[in-house]
Amino acid sequence: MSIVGGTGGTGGTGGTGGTGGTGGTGGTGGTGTTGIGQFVPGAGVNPLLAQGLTINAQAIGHIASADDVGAAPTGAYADLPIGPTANMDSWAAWVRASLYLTDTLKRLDWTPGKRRLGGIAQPFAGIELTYGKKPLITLARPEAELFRLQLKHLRSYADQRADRAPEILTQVGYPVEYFASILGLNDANRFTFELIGITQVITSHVAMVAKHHLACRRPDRRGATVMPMIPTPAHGAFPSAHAAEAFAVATVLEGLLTMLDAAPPTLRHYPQSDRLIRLLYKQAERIAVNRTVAGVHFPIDSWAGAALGEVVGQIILAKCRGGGAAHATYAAIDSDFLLADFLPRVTGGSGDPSAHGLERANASVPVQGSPLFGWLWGKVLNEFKL
Amino acid sequence: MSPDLPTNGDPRLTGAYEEWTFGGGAAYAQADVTLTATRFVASMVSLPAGTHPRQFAAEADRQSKDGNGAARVILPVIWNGAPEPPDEMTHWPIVLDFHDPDARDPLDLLQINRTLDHLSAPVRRVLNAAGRKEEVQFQLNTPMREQSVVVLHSGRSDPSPHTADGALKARLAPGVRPVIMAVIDDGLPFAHRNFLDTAGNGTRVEFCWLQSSDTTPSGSVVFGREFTRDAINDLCRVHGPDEDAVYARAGAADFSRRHGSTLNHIASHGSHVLDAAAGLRPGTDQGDVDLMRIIAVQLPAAITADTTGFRKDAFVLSALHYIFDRADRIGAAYLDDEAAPLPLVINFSYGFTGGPHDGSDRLEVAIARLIEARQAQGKPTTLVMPSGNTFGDRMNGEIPVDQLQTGMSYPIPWRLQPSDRTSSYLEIWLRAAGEDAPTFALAISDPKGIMCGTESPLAFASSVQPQGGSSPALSQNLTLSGNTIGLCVVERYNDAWVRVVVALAPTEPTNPALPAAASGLWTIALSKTGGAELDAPVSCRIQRDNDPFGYLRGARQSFFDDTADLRFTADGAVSRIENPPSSFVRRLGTLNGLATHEKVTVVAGCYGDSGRATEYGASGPLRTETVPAGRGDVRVAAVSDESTALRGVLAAGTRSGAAVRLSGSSMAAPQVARALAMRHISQAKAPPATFPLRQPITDAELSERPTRLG
Repeated sequence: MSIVGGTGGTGGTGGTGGTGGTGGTGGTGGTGTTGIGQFVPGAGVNPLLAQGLTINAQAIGHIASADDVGAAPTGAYADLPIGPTANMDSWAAWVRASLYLTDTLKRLDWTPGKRRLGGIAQPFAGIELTYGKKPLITLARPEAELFRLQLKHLRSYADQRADRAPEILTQVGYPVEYFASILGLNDANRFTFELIGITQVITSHVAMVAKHHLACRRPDRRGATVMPMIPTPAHGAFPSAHAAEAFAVATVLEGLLTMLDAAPPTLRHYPQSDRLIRLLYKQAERIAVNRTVAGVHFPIDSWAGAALGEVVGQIILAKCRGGGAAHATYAAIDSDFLLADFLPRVTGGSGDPSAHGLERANASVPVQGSPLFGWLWGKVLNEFKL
Repeated sequence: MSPDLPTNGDPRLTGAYEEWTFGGGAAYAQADVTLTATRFVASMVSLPAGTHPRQFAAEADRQSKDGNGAARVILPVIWNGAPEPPDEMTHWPIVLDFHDPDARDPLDLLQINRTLDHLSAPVRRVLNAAGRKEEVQFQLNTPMREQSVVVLHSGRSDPSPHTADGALKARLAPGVRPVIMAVIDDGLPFAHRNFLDTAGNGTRVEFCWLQSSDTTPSGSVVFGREFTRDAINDLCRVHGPDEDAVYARAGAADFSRRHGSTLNHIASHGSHVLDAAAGLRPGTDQGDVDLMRIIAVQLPAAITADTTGFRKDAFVLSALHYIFDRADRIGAAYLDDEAAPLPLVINFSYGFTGGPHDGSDRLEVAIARLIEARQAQGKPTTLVMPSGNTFGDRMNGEIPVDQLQTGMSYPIPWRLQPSDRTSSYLEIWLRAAGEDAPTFALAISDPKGIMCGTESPLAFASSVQPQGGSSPALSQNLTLSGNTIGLCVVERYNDAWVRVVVALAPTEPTNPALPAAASGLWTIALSKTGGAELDAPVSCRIQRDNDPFGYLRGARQSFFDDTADLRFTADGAVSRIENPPSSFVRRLGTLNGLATHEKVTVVAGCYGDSGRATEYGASGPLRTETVPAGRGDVRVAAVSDESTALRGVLAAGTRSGAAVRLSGSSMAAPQVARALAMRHISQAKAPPATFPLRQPITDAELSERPTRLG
């Protein structure tokens, strides 16, 4: 009776007890800790260690005698090899990350207030990002009234804060672990983590460009009682970078699983990757919706973010193994964000993205492959050899 | 509900709770229950013997062209085996249609009662012609969202097509027949894989009724939405394995302003209960569970959220009519015979504290009559309910006879908690007397000791009949400093009881502009002023007023703050036994107020490690060797907590694969329901001894408490 009440105590919901705090997930969506470690290392060198090394060099250097600075060399001196992927194994992970990032972004462009229709630039209340001069994602700027209508979803989802708090608090940064647990990734998968990490970093950079130009206020500046359960980050609401990163990761990992499936059955790493693919996208949806539960994103932010993440994921995949990206156009209408509506291709069912304002081009535009990503892709595949 | 008209001549066919929630306390209502602009209100109607609800609805239809002030009556599914005893009132679920809110006056209590009076006129004319004095009575439940009600001119709906599961039907033979498990609850995950058949081919849920979902144009129920087995299988097929999408598309996860759907939480009360009652248990000796077919009825969120329970009657009663009707249709589909004696077990894991506690609550009477009638058709029918969890919650008190003789006054200590955003209710039950009825006076004082003002003194007699010119009905606003902060109503509840209801406003109204009742210790002084001396103690009960699992309305439970209440033993443990006689607070008699009739199997919870009864499990009155066992006895228990350290028991969460731990007798009841149902399925009828019941560990406890386990 008492819906668990009375003196029986509520028993609670099992799993929400021990989440062990929120540590380790870095900053709020910026370039903090990633699957590839600290993106820009900030730790200084220990001064005591510097002193120790200095004293030490003077103390023991005499045993090696002077360096080889005579007229003729006494040893053989060779240069590092050069080439598109030479020395990648030697560079620090963050250096590789920097290379992947610039390699990807060099083809990204946009003209504020313009979009191309039939090859002709036209005024546009929104932002259109192009990739290699081809439209990649076109996001119309929603009217303030539409955001107001979305406040009802914020209120509805707020009831689930107690349920989802552990997830929300551990997903403030990049929720790598939530994907790793689906694929069973571990310490042996450092390059898979590198791929996931760079996907998140690249996607958040692209999302920030869109957010900057669309400049949409967050829910807590629109609804008086939204009162988020975590601090609202100081960037725009639309599109959601969390949604973008999560759907980009799901897209890239789907590509990985599909490729692994090409192996003969006896060598296959995962027995049923179609189920894993559904889980990956469901996880992406969950991560996106958690931000609505927390009170920092509208459902239409998730729609825009997911669409953006999907195309960025396609670009990264294409750079890894060839292929292309399909131009997506999103003009928000008032709706909740459900995976079944966004990606019926994966969920099955009668979902219709265009009924929610999302159009995907039928044909994808080829994207030039990248030796850097090709190198990483090879390393990743090598981790699934069993 | 008094049939008598107050002296000002305004008709009054509703009772104390309507008086406050639709009258003086209406402004405190939360958004989902505001009345003025409402069109549909669920209600339980009590009709004099010989009047059928269809006849009542037809008369109402005929009158409804009168325009303003008129209403129509919409009937939900009424089981065609429902009994109509020739000599007693019958109770029926109805929906009152007050017509387009824009085209009529705003509803208030007076307007409603005038309309109800108008509706009852044809019945009254027939009764008067026969020299009979009974009245039609109404218990108004809750306003319904307009989108959740379908308006059909016939007032009836076509049943949805339902066919048997071919594979199961082919298996049926003498000795192999289905049993029906019906569950009435909140947040029911009908697409959960635990309710599939063992082969995983389709669901065992034959019918599912979501009472507050939006209707569909081809609605097979007049309010909410119904899904048959085929419809559920289709939904699951279309949406693949994405259960979020299934519930969203089915309108099951309704996101109304006030109620996030509990189906969208990790756990819901109904998921746990339905799974305990009927979920698959692969890898265990689960019996031929494919034979267990399920009927699920999800009550409106507003009904679950409001634990006082006075809004529930029409929904619960219509759920039972629906279950009985659909059970017959399952018989027709699988055995080609509506009269087939299919066993039916119903689990209703809800508990309420108010009521007369002798089986004479109107809803109890209606439920008991229905079960009786189905049993009389030769169809095994069992209703299982939890004992309740309020043993130690200080919501049940008793004034001994010797403390309330003529000239004496008894101060009932009623403590209201701060931050209570809902109204609080106290019921005092007095035996109705004939000649020389005892007379009483009430004085109600706030925590500072200031007495509430009333228009006239709160004086009344507990008489069974109105005496020469003076009506026993009394309804007075309680005022402090000119603000109305409560209400006191005295009314004849039935032939046996006079009920006093004291309602107090929230201590922190949602609208801060409204006057609040002060939190703290209120004193309800009941004085005996004359008439015959009492021959039985006076029962006082506080209505439950807390937030049930999954809801946050801001309800805070009030309680009797009695200095003689020994809540803890000398060593600091929570008391598991009755108080000494000097205490007002009684722990025996806390039993679920809807489970005190003869047609219910009441289940308590016990600890899994020790088999000991839980310290919170509510209990009926004490039976001694000289007092025979009877209704209101708790005879069976199941594990509701693994131990005092590990609370709760495991069962399903809302999504397939999730398991959660919930505690309370709600979780024990469905385990017993399942065991009872499986006994119908089992080829070799198991003797009762194998039923997993456990004994309390000490004799002292057994004699102190009537929870007879085993």
